[in-house]
Parts: sequence; C-alpha cells; structure tokens
Amino acid sequence: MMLLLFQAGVAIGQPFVMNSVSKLAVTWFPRKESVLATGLGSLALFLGMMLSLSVTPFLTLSFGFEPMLMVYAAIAVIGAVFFLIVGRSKPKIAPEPDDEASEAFSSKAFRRGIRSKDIMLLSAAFFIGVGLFTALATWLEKVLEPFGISITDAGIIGGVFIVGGIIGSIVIPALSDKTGRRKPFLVGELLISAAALMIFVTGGSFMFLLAGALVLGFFLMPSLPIGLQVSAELVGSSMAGTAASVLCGYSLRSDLWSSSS
Amino acid sequence: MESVKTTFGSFQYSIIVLVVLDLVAALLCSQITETGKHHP
Repeated sequence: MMLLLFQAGVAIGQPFVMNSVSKLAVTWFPRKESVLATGLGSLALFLGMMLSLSVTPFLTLSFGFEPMLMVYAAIAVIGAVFFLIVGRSKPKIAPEPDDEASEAFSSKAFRRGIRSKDIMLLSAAFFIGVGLFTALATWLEKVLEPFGISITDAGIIGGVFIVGGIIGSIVIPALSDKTGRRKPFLVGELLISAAALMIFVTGGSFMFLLAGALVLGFFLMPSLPIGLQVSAELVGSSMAGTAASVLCGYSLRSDLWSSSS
Repeated sequence: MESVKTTFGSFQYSIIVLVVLDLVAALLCSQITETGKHHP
C-alpha cells in the first residue's frame, strides 16, 4: 500500500516536470532561442536518465536498495527547493511582444487546441517516436544478440546512442532557431533516423554499429524538443504546458505499449 | 517488440516495423503547419 502511494506520488510529479520544459522556454526566451532552450531542458532529462542508469547499480550494491532510493529522494528534494528559491514563472518583460496578448487559458481554448489537426498529427508522431525510443532502449541487447554483440558491448552502443542524442539536442535545435524553421528539421530527423535504424537489420562490425547508434541518437532524440516547441508555437505560450501534457500523455501510452507488447 | 519477435521469429523484423513507423511519423510531421517563422 505504501509502495503504491509513493509510486503514485512520483507519477503525479512527473508531468509537472516533463510538461514545463517547453512552457518555460516559450515564456522566458525569444522565438529565435526557444528550441535551443527546450533542447537543453530535454537534454537534462536524457542526462539524468543516463546518470541514473549507470549510478543505480553502484549505489544499490554499495549501500543497499533503500539507501539508494533515499539518495534519489534527497536529490529530488534539493532540486525542488532550489527551483522554488531561484525559479520564476515568467519574466517582467515578455521576450516576444505578442506573448502579452496570447490567448488566455480557458476550457474552450483547451478543447480547440487539442482537437486541432496539427496537435493530433503531432500527438500521433509523438506516440510513434517515443515508442520507438523506448523499444530500442528496452530491447537493444536482444536486437544486437544475433550479430554476436555481447551485453557489455550492447551497453556501450546504448550509451553512444544517448550521447549522440545529447549532442543532437544541442546542435539541431540551435540550427532550427538559426534558420527559424521547425518542420524540415522534424521531418528530416525522422527520415534520417529511419535510415540509421536499418543498421540493426543489416548488422555489421562493432564500430559500424557504434557509429550507426551515434547517428541514430543524434537525429532521433532532438525530435522531442523540436516537437515540444512546435506544439507550444501552435497553441501559444498560455497553453504550451497543456499541449506538452497532451503529447506526453500519448508518449506514456506508447511507452506502455512498446515495452510490454 | 516481443510479440513481433514471437510472430516472425526475429527481432530484426521488429526493427523493420519500427523503420516503417518512423517513416509514418515523418509523413505525419510533414502535414503539420510550419510554426517557425510566423506566429500562431
């Protein structure tokens, strides 16, 4: 019962963090910097994931399961308190003049926003993209097994995939901001990542798979910040967090589907 | 992915399914309004 209660607590907190990235970016940064800001926020999520995956076994073996959880709880509390002290919901002067006149949140505007064709298309793309990422992260060892790749080497390839994503989450959003274009980057990333995925069908040497995983991470993972930014720009800054929550809702269903089916 | 593997006998078929889904996602995104230059 206690486990259920506290797991629910963690689950309730997660959307507040996930959905605030693009909302904060459009509230605090001018349009020409907002994708990079979203990219850096998303990058922090990937970094946290990578760090926790590598540090958790060490903490568990060294101190035990409960102390490991206590360490993460303490880090989360410190992070939350730090954000409460230094974080501000919006700047005194809006970075974009028309943001002041952005449509206020209302249930009517919310319904119109989530029923728009663009948000529906983006939600479907998020469903696929996040499912694809989760499927790869969950099954990578099994996928690489037929090519004679050991569990250790599969872990290295998985790590390089994340590193590629971290680099891509800085480079591609910066290019999107510089050119002021979103759609060509979003479509291009998905097309290149589809081609890069073929390395897991054809197989090859360890170095080839490593290079392929780097390219795949570089192009697949930045589609998250660009997609979040597009959703924020489609609905306006006042409903950016709501749009992100719709996309993340689809992502969660996709996570459940790809990891269990 | 496990269910696709069970059906086809290999994870490589699952990857082909993922490639096709990735292309579908690209197609969906190509239908979205460009938001970069103009304001919503």
